[in-house]
Amino acid sequence: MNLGSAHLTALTPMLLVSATIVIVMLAIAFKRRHRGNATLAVFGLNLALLTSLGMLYIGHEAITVTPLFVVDGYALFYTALILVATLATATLSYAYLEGFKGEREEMYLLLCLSALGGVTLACAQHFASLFIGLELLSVPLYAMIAYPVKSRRPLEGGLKYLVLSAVASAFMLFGIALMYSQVGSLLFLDVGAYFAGSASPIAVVGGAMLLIGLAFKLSLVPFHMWTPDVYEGAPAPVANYLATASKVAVFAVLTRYFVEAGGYYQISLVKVLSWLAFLSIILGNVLAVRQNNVKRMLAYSSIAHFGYCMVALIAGGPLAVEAVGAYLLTYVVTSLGTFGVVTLTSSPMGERDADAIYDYRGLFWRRPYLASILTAMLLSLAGIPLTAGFIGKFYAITAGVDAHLWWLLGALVVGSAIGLYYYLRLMVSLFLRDPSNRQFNAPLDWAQRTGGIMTLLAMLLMLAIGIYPQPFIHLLQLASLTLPG
Amino acid sequence: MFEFLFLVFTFPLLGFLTLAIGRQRISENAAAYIGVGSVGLSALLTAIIGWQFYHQPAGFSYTQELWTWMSVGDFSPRFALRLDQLSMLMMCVICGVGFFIHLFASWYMRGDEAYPRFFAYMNLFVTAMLFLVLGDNLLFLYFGWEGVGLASYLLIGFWYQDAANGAAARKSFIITRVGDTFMAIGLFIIFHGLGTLNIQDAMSLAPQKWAEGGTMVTAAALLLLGGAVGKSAQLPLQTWLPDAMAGPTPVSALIHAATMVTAGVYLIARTHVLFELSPFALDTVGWIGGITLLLAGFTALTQTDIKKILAYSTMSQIGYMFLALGAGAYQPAVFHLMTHAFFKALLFLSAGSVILACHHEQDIFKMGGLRKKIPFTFWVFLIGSLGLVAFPLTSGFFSKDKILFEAWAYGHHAFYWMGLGGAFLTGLYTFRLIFIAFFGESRATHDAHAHDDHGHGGEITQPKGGDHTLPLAVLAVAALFGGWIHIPLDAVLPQPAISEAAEHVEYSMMAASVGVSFLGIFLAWFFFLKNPALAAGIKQSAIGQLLFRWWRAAFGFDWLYDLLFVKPYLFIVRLIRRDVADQAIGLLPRLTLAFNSLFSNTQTGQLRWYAGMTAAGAVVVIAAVILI
Amino acid sequence: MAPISAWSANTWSLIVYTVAVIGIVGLMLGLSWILGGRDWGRAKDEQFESGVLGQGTARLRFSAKFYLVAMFFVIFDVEALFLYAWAVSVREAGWAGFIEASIFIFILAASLVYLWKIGALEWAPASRRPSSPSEPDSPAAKPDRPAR
Repeated sequence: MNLGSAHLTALTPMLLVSATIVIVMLAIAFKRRHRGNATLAVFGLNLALLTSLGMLYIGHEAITVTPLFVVDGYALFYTALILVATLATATLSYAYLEGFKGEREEMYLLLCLSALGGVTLACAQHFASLFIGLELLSVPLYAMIAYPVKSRRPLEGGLKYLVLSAVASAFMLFGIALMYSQVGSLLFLDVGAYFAGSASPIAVVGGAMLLIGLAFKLSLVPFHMWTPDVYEGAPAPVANYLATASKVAVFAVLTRYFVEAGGYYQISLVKVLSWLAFLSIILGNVLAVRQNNVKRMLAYSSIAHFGYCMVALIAGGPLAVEAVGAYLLTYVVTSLGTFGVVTLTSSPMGERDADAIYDYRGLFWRRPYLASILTAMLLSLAGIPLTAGFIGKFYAITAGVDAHLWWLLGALVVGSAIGLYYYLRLMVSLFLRDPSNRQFNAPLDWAQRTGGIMTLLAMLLMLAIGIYPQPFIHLLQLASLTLPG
Repeated sequence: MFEFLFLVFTFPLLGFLTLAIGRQRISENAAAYIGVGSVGLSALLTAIIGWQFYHQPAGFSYTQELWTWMSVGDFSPRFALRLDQLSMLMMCVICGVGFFIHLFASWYMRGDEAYPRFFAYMNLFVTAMLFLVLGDNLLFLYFGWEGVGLASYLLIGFWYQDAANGAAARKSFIITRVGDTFMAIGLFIIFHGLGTLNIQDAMSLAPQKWAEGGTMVTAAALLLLGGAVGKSAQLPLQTWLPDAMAGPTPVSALIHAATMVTAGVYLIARTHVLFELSPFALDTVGWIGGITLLLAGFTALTQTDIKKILAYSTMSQIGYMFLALGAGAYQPAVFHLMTHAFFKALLFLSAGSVILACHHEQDIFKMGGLRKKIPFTFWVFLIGSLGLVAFPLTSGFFSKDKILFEAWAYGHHAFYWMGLGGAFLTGLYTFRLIFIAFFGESRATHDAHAHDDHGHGGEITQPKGGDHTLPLAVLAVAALFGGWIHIPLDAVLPQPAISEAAEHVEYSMMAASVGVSFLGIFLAWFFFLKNPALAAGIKQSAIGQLLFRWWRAAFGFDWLYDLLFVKPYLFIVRLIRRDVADQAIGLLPRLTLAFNSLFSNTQTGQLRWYAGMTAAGAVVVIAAVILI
Repeated sequence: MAPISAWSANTWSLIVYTVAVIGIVGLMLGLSWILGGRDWGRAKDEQFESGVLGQGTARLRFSAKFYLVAMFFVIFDVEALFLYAWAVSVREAGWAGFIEASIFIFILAASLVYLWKIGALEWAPASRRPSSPSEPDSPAAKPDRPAR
């Protein structure tokens, strides 16, 4: 297969990220400078982001680049979303690593590598690219989670993620092999055509095993066990990346798999998936209720959130892809802000992240803006109207109502009610009186720091989506997938 | 110029954001410039737009589409502003009167430690109020409706260090919430029945879809009335307004006299089509107005707190507007809304001036003889009072007279007589206040020093300064001559024809209403200035005692509600504290906690357990997929 | 969708198979446990007849560098394998193939440079390494450099 210039143009964002990786690597090799290397990485990522957004707005036909990749509006939208999350992580890492003793520059290298994996997933239309993308996304993450290698918890989290990911990958690979044995092709569209007809049980089992692998990455119950431990151990910016970019990329490919590779034809699979969603919503919320560790709480809440998002996916129908996009967009923006505040509150100490709810007590009286941002973000996570979270939840519910998924919607409502409780619990503690010993304080000039600006931007974006979602909805409609045939 | 319409509420919004973000970092002067200036800009813009508007052909209206909130499926609420004669008038009142009240407030609040916060709330209020009147959509209107409720709550409880103020704020918030709930249900009915919340569409669709006097339209109209009654402090949701006087006086002037409390009148005028389709609902509006008018008048007669008297008088004047709406006299109702905004804002502001001059004394029986000490304030207060009692050729005269005349002309004689009775009461209680507070001997001299804990001098002196005098002077001019302003409303509100026969009685009616208010004034002079002993004697008599106590407690509505709602509620609460229903409701948290401790145990932190669970989950999933 | 009988036949065969496997494994282990003789003694744990007595544990601790270098070898070795595939089809792949292979080689070389520069190929641990003038501000050489 020959690569024409049109193909190369279509792959520009991916190529830009790849080039950034090599350049950052060489830059680190020759001159270690935290600021310089970070700037280089951020510059490259920004360039890729702008290209992908530009291509999305100009809009063009879907271009298939080799059997592995397809570049369409959908791929570009998720590329942009992943890159936004990566950029935010890079900015937060910069603030976070300022006080880190050890080599700080490799973080950006790993981050770019992982982002490349995410972009690959967004464009994947073939099981080979799906697997490569997933591994490229995950492998740097092991190192990122265990980045402060001298501390106990990050190391533990990194190892847990490594081992369990390997288990999940094994399932997935086996599942792909089973499907291939029946279909004889790894292309999504071929698999979809196969499932549209009568499928052999072996292929169905293969589909289930693939799903297990993806469900693990999305931390759906019962494959969620790793989530709280890893979130707690990971440095705050990495937890942010794990919650946003990594999951969005996996969800993007899952949705494409469902639409193009005939996931919806596998009735039993959809049914099982709806159980997983139900369990995720209930268990995620229930486990978060008495959690005193903010990062663990956010981990449980992310389990629940991906349960909500799964409702939109399961609903199917014309609205599903748009609803999933809306949910992921709002969740990413909100999470960036939330983890941003957690990072900024933790950063200068280096000993331990500010993750106990106690650390946030009276934050409002010390850092009113930071506390206000966190409050707004928590409201958005809870899905209060006029925040972005509401739009996402509204979409999920609309899609669910259209598909008459009443018991899943019931879980969604009950889950949201429980969710409100623990979000409010953290929120209330922000406004309590100052504890006598202030262990954690964001640096005074946080607003001047890039991380602070990023958090503020995330909040503005969150409010913008909540108050005037129409432009974003327009963007989502550019990123639609159509069922073949 | 109309395309800048959205700026009218953007200025106060920006002011609010600036002040809210800057908070204590903003100096008093800067806060005053931002707070007053933003409303000033709005007022200027309103003036320009108004100037252009009145050069348009009659019936002109302008709709500015701001944005579609979101379009998911066939649900696409639109944020649009609509400028027509009614909203133009409301906008003028809000921005014009609002600006002068803000200016006065910049003087009144001087020295308060939360000065920027005050103006932030005030700007928030103006924004929300403009939302309310400009909204093209009932959803948008409801948004503003809730916004003004919030601002009102924040401002009543502005001095939150005093627990009583917090209680008053909560009371007003909760009682208006009752009305808002009615209104929300009303909106649901409208959306259900007509399929739209756009006001123009709904009003044109309603006569086609709903039969006259039908159940649905009556329900919708009555529920909207419920909302209006709550916001406008009419029977039976009127009890919050007197308590709302706990807020700073400019707040009372702006929110609880000139603008927010008239939102109910605006709502009914806006949706008058629905009310015309349901004669029962329309009659109810009139009766509620009439009864509130009289009850509030009697209560005002017995109050001693200067602001409470004005609060009851506000209630009673809004009663007039409701009465007019009920009689089908929409235009006079809105006209009275405007003139009332002028003279009542003036009265409240000058009351504020009195209160500050008397070192935070609000009891009129501790004032007395203020006419000499604060002459300017006295004169503007007198002008406001003349407007209130509809003294001939003042602003209130024109509007009140029109209401009474049209009520009669449309055949609502009962409303006319109630209105006439109200006019008498208005004269009586207004001049009772003036004669007691401004005439006679000063009753404050002997204990002025003792009571003064604010560090002011004991002497009562006339407050000065442009930011104090200018608003009062301007509003005084408006209260005097506001009645000459001709406001065309024909394109928005219907004006039923008046029979020939009725026109003949117009002048005799005018004479009658002027007569009864003069009678009221005379009696006030006779009882409270000439023969205070006689008044005291009547008060001491058995029946006087009874009536006095009954009226003073505002006909015991607080007591009644306490008896009817609060006590039984608390009783039931005590009864079912350990009841099954409670257990059932408490099931979710209990279950949550139980599940929480159950599943928390699964998070052991041990890798082998996690891997085992993952594998077990995988087995279950595969088995399920095969076996289903 | 296959007819229901085919489905259930498949399912049943799977279930029977699973039960049979568990049964056989259980039978074998159980029989030997029941039938087998049991005897304990100190000498019983030692090697019998042939073999050498064990010397310490088998879990030797190699230097971490050993694994690192082994991994580098595997990575570069496997990557280099791709070049064979290109080498046999170099004419068919043409200039495009040549450019792609060049990029591939360049990236490999760049990563080698990176490894070299950060000192991953040095055998001695950082603390015992003579500080080289070429990388004066390597944080590994001065681990407790104050934070910026």
